[in-house]
Amino acid sequence: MTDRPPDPDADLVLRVGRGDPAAVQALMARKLPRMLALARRMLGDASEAEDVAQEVMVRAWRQAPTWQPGAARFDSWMHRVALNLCYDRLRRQRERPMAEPPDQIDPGPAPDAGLMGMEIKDQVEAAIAKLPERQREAIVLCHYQELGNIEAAALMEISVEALESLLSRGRRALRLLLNPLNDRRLEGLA
Amino acid sequence: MTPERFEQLAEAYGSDLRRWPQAEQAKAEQLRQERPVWARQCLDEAADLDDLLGLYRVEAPSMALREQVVAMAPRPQRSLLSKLLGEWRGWGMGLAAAGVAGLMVGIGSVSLMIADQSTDVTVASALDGQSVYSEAVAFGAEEKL
Repeated sequence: MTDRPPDPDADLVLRVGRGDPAAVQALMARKLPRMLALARRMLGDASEAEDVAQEVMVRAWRQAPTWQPGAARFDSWMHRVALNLCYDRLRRQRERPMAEPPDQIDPGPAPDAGLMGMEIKDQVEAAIAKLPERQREAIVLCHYQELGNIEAAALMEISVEALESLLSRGRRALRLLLNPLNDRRLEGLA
Repeated sequence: MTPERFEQLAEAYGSDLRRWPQAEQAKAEQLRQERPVWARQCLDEAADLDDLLGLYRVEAPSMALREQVVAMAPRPQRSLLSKLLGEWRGWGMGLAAAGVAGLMVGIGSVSLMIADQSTDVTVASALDGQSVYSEAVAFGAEEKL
């Protein structure tokens, strides 16, 4: 016997599997923005994020007719697919020969350099892109996708303690990157 | 819950206790009420970063993307009965079309036959008229006609 709450998407997925056009629209409205946001924040590229979101949805359509409710939540399964696709692309980005060295590194002592001339929103985006991938993944899943710690840890195949550590380190790094920005924002409000 | 654990959770999950591990939310809330000034200070630091993170919004999916996604969605399934009915309907439509075509051909043939007959009658009448006219002219009765 399990005390897991019922999958809120189960009924919709069942109807999608039967080809119900209203269910297709409803599931797309519920999941496409979510998958797009996940991919965008993981990859930092709008076009690649669209490709990933589309691929996740296509796989969801394929999965729906044979989906067995109870094994895992459909939303978790979609996140797993999306993260795998994102990591495939990140790996390819790393393997691609580059003319200049990548800036995908942990923030150093003066990490905010280069961010100051940008819009605040763009600076936040750039700061998140500068995080190491696992820290970024933890923050994207917990903060932006609003997954619970147990679900996020399971998706990342790590313990809850390890997830907490990644979150703490990620947020500390972001605070360092964005602190001058926050000071400016607070000055603007004063 | 110890104050250290409260700080750890704020550091990891941010200022909103609803994002904290469910199992620890009640104890965290209790500590917040017991030490409101300290808790507020602790959460405010986390809230500053939360506010900044909230500025990074991703635009909604474009219409083109939504259309592409829907185009690849499963189509409505048809039951065996409706498939059979659909096939029967197909056969029925075919038979009906063949029947209509046959009927049209039949009607066409009958029309042609009737047209042939009426042509014969018209020609015969015309010839008859002509022969009467010719005979009248021959016998000097043109004006009466």
